[in-house]
Amino acid sequence: MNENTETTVAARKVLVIDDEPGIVDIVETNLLGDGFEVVSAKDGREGLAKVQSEKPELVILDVMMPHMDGWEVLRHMEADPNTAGIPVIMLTAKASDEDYIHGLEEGAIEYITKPFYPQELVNRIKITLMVLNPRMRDERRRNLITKRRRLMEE
Amino acid sequence: MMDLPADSSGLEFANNISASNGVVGATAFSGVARYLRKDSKRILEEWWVAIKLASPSFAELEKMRNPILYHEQSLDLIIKALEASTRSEQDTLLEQVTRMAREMAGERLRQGFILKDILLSLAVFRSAVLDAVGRMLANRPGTAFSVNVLQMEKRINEAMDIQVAAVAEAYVNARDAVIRHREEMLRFHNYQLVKLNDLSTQMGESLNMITVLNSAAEAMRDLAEIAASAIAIKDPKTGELKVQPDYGHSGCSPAIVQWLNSHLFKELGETIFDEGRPMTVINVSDDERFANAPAFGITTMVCIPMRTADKVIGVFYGIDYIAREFSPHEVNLILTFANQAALAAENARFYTQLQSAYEELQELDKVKDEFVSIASHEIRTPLTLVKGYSATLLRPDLNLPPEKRQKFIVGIDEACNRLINLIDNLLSVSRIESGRFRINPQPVNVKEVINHAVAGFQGQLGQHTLLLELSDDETRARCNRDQFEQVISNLISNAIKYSLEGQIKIATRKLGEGAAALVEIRVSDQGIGISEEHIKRVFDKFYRAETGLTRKTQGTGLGLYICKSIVSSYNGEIWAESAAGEGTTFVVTLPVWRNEPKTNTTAENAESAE
Repeated sequence: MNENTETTVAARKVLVIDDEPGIVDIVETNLLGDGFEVVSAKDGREGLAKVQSEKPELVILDVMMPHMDGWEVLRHMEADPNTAGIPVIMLTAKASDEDYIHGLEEGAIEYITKPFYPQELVNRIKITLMVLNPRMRDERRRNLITKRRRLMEE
Repeated sequence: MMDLPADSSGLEFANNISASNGVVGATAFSGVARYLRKDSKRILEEWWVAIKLASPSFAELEKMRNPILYHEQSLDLIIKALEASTRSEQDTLLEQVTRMAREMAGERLRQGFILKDILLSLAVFRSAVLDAVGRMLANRPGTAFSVNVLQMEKRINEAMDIQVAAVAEAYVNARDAVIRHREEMLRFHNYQLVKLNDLSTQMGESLNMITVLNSAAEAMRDLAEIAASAIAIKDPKTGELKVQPDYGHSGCSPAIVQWLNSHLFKELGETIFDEGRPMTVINVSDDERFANAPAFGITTMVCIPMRTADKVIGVFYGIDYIAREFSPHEVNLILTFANQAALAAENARFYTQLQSAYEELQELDKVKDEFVSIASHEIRTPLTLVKGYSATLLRPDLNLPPEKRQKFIVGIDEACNRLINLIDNLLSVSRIESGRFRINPQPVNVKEVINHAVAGFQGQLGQHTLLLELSDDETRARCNRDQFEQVISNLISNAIKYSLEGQIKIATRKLGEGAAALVEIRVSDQGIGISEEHIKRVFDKFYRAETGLTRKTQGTGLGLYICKSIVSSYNGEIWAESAAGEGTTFVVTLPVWRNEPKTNTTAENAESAE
C-alpha cells in the first residue's frame, strides 16, 4: 500500500518508545500500513531526545524501560511548553487501576495495556489525532479517569 | 490418807490470834503455810482431777506444758503470802506475786491457753487450797479458829486474787502485743502485696521478653531485698537453662552471669526445675555443693522455680553478700512473684511468637502479591508479542512482504519459548517447594545441550553478542538433560537481563580426573556486576538484585533459585563471581558421568518414582 494514499497532506509522524524490539516492529508495521510515518526509540532517554528532535504528532510510550522510565518521559514532556501539546498514548504491561489513573493524570491521553490489538491501537491513534482542541482532550482525559474511578469503587 | 503435819503449827497459829487485832501477824499463818507446803502434793492432785473434769481441752494442753510447775509456783505464792509478817513484807511480796503471776500468765498465753481456761484453772486451784485448809481445821476440832479462819481465807483469797488480776492484766498486755504484732505484720504484708502488685503490673505492661525479664529481675531484687538477681529461662527448643548475658538480671557482674550458667548451676537449676521447689542456701561456704566454686563473695543464694499454670519455665536466682535467712513468708512472696514473672515471660514469648508468625505471614503475603504481579507481567510481555505478531499477520489490508511474515512467525515462536521457559520455572519451583522435585540422573552431553539452549535465545539477544568456548571433548555430565538445559537457559536469560549490552560468554572445561572429575560451565556477562551484599542472596527464592535497570523483563526471581536446586540435587555446585562494574560470572560444576553401579541408579529411580 502506498503511504500517500491515506492522506493528501504529508504523512503524520508517530514516535514509538519501547525497549522490546518486537513491540516496536509490530506497532511500526501496523502504522506504516495505515500511512503513518514512524520513528522509534529503544529507551526513555533516547525517546525524550527524539521527541525534541523529531517533533512527532503523537507518542506511543512504554513505562518500564532502562535509563529513563515512561513516567519520567511523560513528566519531562508535560513540563516543556514545546512538547506539552503532543498527545501521548501509554502502551504498557502495567495494568493496575492505579497505573492507569496515574498515566492519565500525568498527561497521557490514552492508556492501553499489553497485550493489545494492533488494529485498535491504530484506531485510537486516528481518533486522538482528530481531536485537535486541547480543551476537548483534557475533558476526554478527565472523563476516562472518572469512569475508571467509578469502576474501582464498584 | 493424808497425815497431819507433825509439828504443832495449828497451835502456833491459834496462839497468835490475840496479837493480830485485825492486822494479821506474820507468824499467825506460818503454821498454815507449813501445812499447805506439806499438803501441796494432794492439793495439786485434787486440782488436776478437778480441772480435767471442768475443761478436758485445757487439761490436754496442760499435759504438754508441765502443768504441775505452774500451780506449784502458784501455791508457793500463796504460802509466801501467808508467811509474810509485816506490811512492808506484804507489799514486797505483793509486788513479787504480781510480777510472777504476770510472767506466768504471759507465758501461758503465749503457749496458747485461753483466758477463760486460765481463770477456771485458778478457781479450781483456789478451791483445792481452801479444801486443804478445811482439812487442816477439821483435824483440830475443839480449837476456836473462827475469826482467824476468815482472816486466813481472806489472805489466801487475796493471794489468789492478785494472781487472777495479774493473769487478766497479762492477758490484756499480751493481747495488745499480739494485736500490735498482727497489725504490724498486716501492714508489712500489705506493703509487700502492694509492692508485688505494682511490680507485677509493671512487668506485665510489656510484651517484650527483654523488658519483662529485666523488670522482673529488678523487681525481684527490690522485693526480696537482695543484692543481685538473675533469671534463667529454659529454651523450649534446646532445653538449655540459661541466664542471658545481656538481659534478665540485675546487679550481676558478667562473671556472676557466667557462673550462673556454669555446670554447677546447670545441675542445681535442673533439680529446682524438675522438683519445682525453692531452695535457699544461707551460707554457700557451708554447702558442699559450692565447695569448689568461685563465690565472688556471695554468701546467700536463693533459687526459686518460675512456674506458670502448667509448667516450670525457668529459675530465679537471688544473691546476697551477707548471710541472711528467708522466712517462709518471704519465700512465699518471692515464689508468688516468680510465678507472676513466669506468666509475664510466657505471655511475652507467646506474643513474640504470634508477632513473628504474623510478620512472616505478612511478608509471605507481600512476596506472594509481588510474585503474582511479576509473574503476570512476565507472562504479559511474550503474550503481547504473540498477539501483536499474529494480529498483524492476520490484518487483511496489510500486504506484508514474505520476509516480514517470516520474521513475525519466528517472533511468535520465540515468544512462545519464553512463555514455556517461564512455565517450566514455575512448575519447577512448585515441585521443589512441595518436595516432588525428581532426580533422574543421566549422561548429559554438555556441548550439545548448551548449543540447543543458545539457539532459543537468538531473537532475544538485542544488544548482546554470544560467544561460546565449549571444550571439544564429548564430556558427559551427571545430570538430567532437561534440567541441565533449564539451568543454562536461566543463566543466559539472567545475563541478558542484568547487562544492557556486550558479550555473553559461555565456556566449559573438564576439571580433574577419575572419580573426582568435574565439568565446569562458566556463563559471563559484561554487565554492572553484583555487589558483595547481593551476591550471597542471589540464589534465594524471589530475590532480585536491584540494579536500576528497569526493564520489562525483570524476572521472577526464581531462575537462580531453580539453578541452585537442580545443581545441588546432582551433587554439583553453583556460585557467582563478580565485582560491581566488572560483570558477573556464574560458575556451575557437575560431576562427570561414570557408569554407575546398577543398584545406585535403581535406588535413585525408585526414590524419585511417584
